[in-house]
Amino acid sequence: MTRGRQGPMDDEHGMSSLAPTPLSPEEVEILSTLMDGMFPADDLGPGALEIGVVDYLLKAFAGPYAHLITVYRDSLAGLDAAAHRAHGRRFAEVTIEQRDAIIDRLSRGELEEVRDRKFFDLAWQHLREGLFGDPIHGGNRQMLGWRLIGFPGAQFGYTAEEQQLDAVIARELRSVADLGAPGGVDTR
Amino acid sequence: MQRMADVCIVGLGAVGAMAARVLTAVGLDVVALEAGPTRTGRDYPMDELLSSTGWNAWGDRKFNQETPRWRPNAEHAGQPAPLSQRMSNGVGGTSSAYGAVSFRFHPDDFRARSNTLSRYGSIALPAGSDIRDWPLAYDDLEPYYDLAEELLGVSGQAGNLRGTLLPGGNPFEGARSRPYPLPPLRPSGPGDLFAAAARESGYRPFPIPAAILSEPYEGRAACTYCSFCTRSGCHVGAKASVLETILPEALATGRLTVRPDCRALSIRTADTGEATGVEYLESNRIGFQAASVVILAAYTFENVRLLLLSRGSRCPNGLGNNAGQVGRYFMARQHRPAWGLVARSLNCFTGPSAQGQTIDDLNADNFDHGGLGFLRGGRLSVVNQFTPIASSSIVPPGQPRWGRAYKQFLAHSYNRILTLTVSAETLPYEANFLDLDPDVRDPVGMPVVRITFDNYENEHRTLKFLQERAVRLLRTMGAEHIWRARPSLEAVSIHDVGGTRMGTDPVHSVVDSFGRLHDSSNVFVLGGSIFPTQSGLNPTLTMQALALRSAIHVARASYEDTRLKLRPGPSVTREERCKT
Repeated sequence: MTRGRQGPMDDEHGMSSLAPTPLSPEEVEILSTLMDGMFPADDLGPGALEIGVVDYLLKAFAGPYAHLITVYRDSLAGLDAAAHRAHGRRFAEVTIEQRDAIIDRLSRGELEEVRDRKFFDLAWQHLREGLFGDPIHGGNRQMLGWRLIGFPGAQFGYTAEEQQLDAVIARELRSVADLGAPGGVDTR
Repeated sequence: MQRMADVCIVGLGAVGAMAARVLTAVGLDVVALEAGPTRTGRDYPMDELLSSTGWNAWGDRKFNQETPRWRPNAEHAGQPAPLSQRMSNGVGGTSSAYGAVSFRFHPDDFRARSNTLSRYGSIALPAGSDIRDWPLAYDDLEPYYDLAEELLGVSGQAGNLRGTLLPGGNPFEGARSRPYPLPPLRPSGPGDLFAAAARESGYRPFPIPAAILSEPYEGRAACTYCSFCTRSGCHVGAKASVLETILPEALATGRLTVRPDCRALSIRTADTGEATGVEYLESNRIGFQAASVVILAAYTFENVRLLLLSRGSRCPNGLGNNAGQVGRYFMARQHRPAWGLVARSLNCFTGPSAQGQTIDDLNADNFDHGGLGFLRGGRLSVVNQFTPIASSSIVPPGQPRWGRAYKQFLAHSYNRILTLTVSAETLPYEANFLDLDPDVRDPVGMPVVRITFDNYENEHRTLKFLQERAVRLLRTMGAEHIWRARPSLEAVSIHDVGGTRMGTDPVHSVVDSFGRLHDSSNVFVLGGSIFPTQSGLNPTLTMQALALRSAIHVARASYEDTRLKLRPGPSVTREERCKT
């Protein structure tokens, strides 16, 4: 299982550790290249970068995912090493085809330079969190992720008609932030 | 040291609150130690990320820092447990954020061993398994099921009212003395689609019973059919979190003292073997709560851990463990669905996960297992709450999980993926147990639980059988492209039961039918850990009905005890009388 499934404070020794330093600009560049490749902008709409996946993750590294910075740092360095070895360039500088070939091997757990064989699963989980989590956490900018798949967000409820097959749910998208009270809706 | 309590309850969740409700109603002073914080149901926003696997914001310290380790069998080293489902800690426990599916177990679930033997013979019992009858029958628990449904406000369609089968309900349910307090949750398109396909296939579908209000009830508002239910709190209080149902009344008696952020460390015992109270940690201070009766009402893992950590002169291997039974026969649920793509918009992202249709025809011994090569079964259903972080991980085999192809898949198919949930029963095995991890400790230095758990041939065959039927149903429902989840190791499933099983025989069980330890007369264990078998149905209502039965038993015993003390006699001298 990925380390993302452990509790925020639960490393191998069950001990909390000091917060590691944030990612460097170079590391953020590698992360951005990875997320861009995993969810690119195209005619369907914006990609991971415009939707704010990297922003989400950087914010999470300063909070609940502080314990994952080291895993990311190691794996991002591995991606760079793989790009250097195959193409003599940094991962952020390879062509789109070369980038996708590296991600493809990463997704199969076959990229030797990335020691954590489950790193793709972890990054994939975080990609989806950044795309589809509530915008208050830094991703899903302007609810672009929700718009892409047709999820209306934090709605107070739905009508019987809306729960029928093929019903069109034409609602203004809502974030938790639009609902007012800290608990979403306080009806008391 | 705190003032002596009549009863100290460890864990104020779904079952601890039930016990508190009963005991305070009869005038007993109850202190509840709760490791998590105070929280109200409406503190949980409609935010999938907070309740996601990665964040598990509601797990707090208790679950997130004391996460059990897991290994498939005794030959393997432990590793972090695979946790696809998380739980919450705090006043109200996971009841604030559960899915609220509220089944009564089948009469057959209480007699799985006897019924198997009489129908299939001892040859049918899988090697290494140890299926036992429960020490009570469905009829013994029926009045408490009835009371629990009334206290919680359960919505559903009765299938068997005093022996008469009713159309539209579950034909396999035990006879109930009264209908559900509320009609079932509203039908939905996907549920209707499932019900039609199930009927066409010869099954008898019915609406899932849920502890969620279909109509206003006892001052609480009805469900609004939002889709932040399982792993979230209810923003209108329609879900039967104990915070919305039984705890307010228990608190109103003035006899319940809730001590949040107090983590129990061990139960202390006297040389008689009886408990004297509970040692706990509050911030960095160790406290002691003396009590006449101790009720352990934590989740399965913590019930087992606390017993094993509570050593004394009469219990050197842990409280209740003189026969070496604590931790044994642990069972985790397999939830392994089948999926299909349909040409319709399903809108399963509306409505709670408990809103849907299900069939019970392939569960328990509700069908003939002759020649099938496995015992027991499971439940198939269509449910809602298809929220996007979790649901975007559902990808057919061969479909890329990244890049343009993935994006295209999500944009076109997110609202067309039909999930057929498969919830299967796991048998109790000698080889599946809980103990204390020899190497890993939590931040205060206590060993975490080590789960030794694997699925065996019976579970593999059950799952294959159920998934094959799910695939056929999906085809009948018009799905074009169908795939299924691979069997998993789900060592932690949210339906984790066993470990302190009940029975009449103290050599093969830990507690009696009231949850009382065989080894210590004033310690009771409540919750799923006392189940001898798992059932293919969701466990919470049965846990709560058993908790009501246990607490009423404790209350009666206390009454008898008081009555004895009131007898006229020479226990107080004239001199003492004069002093007061």
